[in-house]
Amino acid sequence: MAALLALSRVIDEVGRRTGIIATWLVLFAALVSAFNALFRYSIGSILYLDAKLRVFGGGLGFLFNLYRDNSNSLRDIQLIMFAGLVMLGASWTLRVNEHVRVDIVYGSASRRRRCWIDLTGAIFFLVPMCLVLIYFSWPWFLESWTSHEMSSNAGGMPRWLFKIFLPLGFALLLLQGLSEIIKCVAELATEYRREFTYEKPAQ
Amino acid sequence: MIAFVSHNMAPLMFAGLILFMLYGYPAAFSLAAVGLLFGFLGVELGLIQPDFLGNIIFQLESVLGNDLLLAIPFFTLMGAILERSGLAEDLLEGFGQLFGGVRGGLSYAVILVGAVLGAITGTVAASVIAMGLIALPIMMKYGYNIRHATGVIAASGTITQLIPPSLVLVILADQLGKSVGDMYRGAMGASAVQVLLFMAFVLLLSIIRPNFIPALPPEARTLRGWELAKRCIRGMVPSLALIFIVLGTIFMGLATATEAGAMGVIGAFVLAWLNGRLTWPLVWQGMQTTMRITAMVVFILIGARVFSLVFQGVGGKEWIEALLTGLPGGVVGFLVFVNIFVFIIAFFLDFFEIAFIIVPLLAPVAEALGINLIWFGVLLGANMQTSFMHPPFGFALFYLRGIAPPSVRSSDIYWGAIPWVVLQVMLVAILIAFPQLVTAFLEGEITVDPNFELTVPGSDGNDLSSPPVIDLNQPPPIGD
Repeated sequence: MAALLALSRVIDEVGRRTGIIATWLVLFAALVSAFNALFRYSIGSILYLDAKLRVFGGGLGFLFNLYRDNSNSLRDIQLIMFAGLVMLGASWTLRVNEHVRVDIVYGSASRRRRCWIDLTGAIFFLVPMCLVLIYFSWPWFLESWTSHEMSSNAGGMPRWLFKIFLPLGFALLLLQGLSEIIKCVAELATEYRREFTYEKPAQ
Repeated sequence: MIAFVSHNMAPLMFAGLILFMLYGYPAAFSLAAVGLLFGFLGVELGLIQPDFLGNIIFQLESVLGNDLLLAIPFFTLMGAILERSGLAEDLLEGFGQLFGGVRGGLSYAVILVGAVLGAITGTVAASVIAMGLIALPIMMKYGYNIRHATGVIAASGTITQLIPPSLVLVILADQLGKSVGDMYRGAMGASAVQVLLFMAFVLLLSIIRPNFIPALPPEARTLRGWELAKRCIRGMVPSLALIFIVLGTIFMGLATATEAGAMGVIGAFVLAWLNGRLTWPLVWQGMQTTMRITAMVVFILIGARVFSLVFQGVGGKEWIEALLTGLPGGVVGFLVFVNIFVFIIAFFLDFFEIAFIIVPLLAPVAEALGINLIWFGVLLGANMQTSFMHPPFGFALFYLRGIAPPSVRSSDIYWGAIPWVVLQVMLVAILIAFPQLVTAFLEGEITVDPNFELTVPGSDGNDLSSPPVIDLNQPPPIGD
C-alpha cells in the first residue's frame, strides 16, 4: 500500500505541474485575444496618424505587414491555449475534487460511502472513458503529425499542436484516475484519509 | 428481451442517463460513460454502424476548437478580478447614500448596482459576493428585515444571468446555433422588465410592510451635494467604461464576444490597479479558479457531446420530438411544459448541465414548431435564473451563506429567496405572453424570396463547350 501511495503522490505532482501550466494559459489566452482585437481595430488609425503626422517617423508600415502575416497564427494560438488549459487542467481539477456532481445522493452520503462512489465511478466510468477516447484520439493526432497537417487558416500553426492535447489530456486524466483509485482503496482499507472534500464549484 | 432493448434504445438510454447521473460521480464522466456504454450496446445490437463511434473525435475537435467557448475563461477571470476590485463598494456606497432617504432605498440601490454589475460581468458569484459583503452588514445595521435583505442581494446578483454580457447567454447562443450579439439584443428588454419587477416589489413592500425596509436616518447619510455626486461618478465612470469595452464593442460589431471578454479582463485589471487592489495573489487565485471552472465546464460539454452523439445514433432525437410535438396547446403548450420541466430539473442539475444536455434535445423541437430560437433562449435564460435561487442548492444562496455573518440563519436565507423566485417565474410568464419584449430588439428577419431561381450554367441544356459570346458593340442591357 505504501508503494502505491507513493506512486499516487508522484502522479499528483505531475498533475499539479500540468495544472500550473494550464493556469498560466488562462492569462496568456486572454492577453493574446485582447491584443488581437485591440490591434486589429487600432492599426488603421495608428498607420493613418503615422502617415499624416509622422508621429513615429512614418516607418510603421512593417507593423501592419507583421500583423497581416501572423494574425492567423494568433487566432490559432488562442485555440491551442484553450485546448491546453482544458486538457491539462482537467486532471488537476479531478484531484482537487471540483468536477461538478449531481449531489442528491453524494451530498448526504457518509465518508465511506463517498469513497465507494468515487472508487467504482473511477473504475467503471472514468478509466474506460479515457481508454476509449485515447484509442480514438491518438491515431487522429498521429496522422496529423506525420502528414505535417497545417491549420486551415492561411499562414496558421501546425495542426498537431492543437491535436496533441486530446490524447495527452486523456492520458493525464487516466493517470489521475489511477491515483484517485489508489487513494480510495487506501482510505477504505487503512487509516489513510483523502485530502479534498467535495464542494460545489463556484461559477 | 433483446428485441425490447433494441426497440426502446432511446428511452432506455435516457433512463440510463438519469441513473448514472444520480450515482453522484462527476457529471462529465458519467455522461461520457452512458454514451460509450450504449454506443457499444448499439453496435452489438446492430442499431448503429461500428465506425459511427469514430465521429466522437470530430465532436471533441468541435468543442475544443470553438472560439465562442473561449469566452468562458475570459468572463470568469474578469468576474474573479472585478469581485475584489473595489468597484462594487464604490457603486453601493454612492447609490446607497443617494436612495438611502426613502423607504427601501438600500434595496433599490442593491437592485440597481446588481444590474450595473450584471452589465459588466457575466458571472453570478462576483455580484453576489461583492454585494453581500458590503450591503448586508449595512442593511442589518439599519434594521432591514433579514429575509428581505438576503433575498434582494441574492436575486440582484442573479440578474447577471440575464443581462448581457452574460455567460449563460453565450452558452445558450452556442447550443441553439444563434449569434451571441442577437442573443444579447434579445435579452435587453427581458432584463429591463426583470429590474422593474424587482423594484415594483420593493415599492409594494414599502406600502404593506413598511417596517421591513426603513429609510436611513439622516445621520447615516453623511455624503451630501458635491461629495455624493463625486462618489456616484467614481462608481459609474469605470462601470460605463467597462460596459462600453465589453458590450459596446460586441454591439458595434467591433469585436466577437470572446474578444470582448478578453478586453474586459484587461479592463478589470486596469480598474483593480487604479483602486490599488491589483496584487499577485489576487490574480493568481483568479487564474486558478478560472482554470478549474473552465476545465469542469468544458468536460461536461465533452461528456454531453459523447452522450448526444450516441443518443442521436439510436434514434433519440425522433423519440424526443414525438414526445414533445404531441403536447396539447401547440406552441404555448410546449413552452409552458418546457419551462415547468426546466424549472423542476434546475433543482437537481446546474446551469451548464441543463444547457449541454437538455437544451440540444429541446432546440430542434422548438425550431420545428416555428418558435423564434432567440426568444426561446431568452426564456430559458430567464428560467434558469431560478436555478441559482432555489433553496437549498441554489448557488446564489450558497455564496451568500458563505459570506453572511453567523447571526444570519440559513433558514432566513432560504425563506428570503422565495418571493424573488416567484418574481422570476412571473418574468418567464410575461415573456411567454409578450414575445415582442424579446423580438422587438432584434433586427428584421431575412426573408427568403420564394420566386428566386438560381440558374446553373448548362442546366438548361445550353452548350458549355465554348465560352459565352459577348457582343461588345452594344452596351450591356441594364434593368430590362
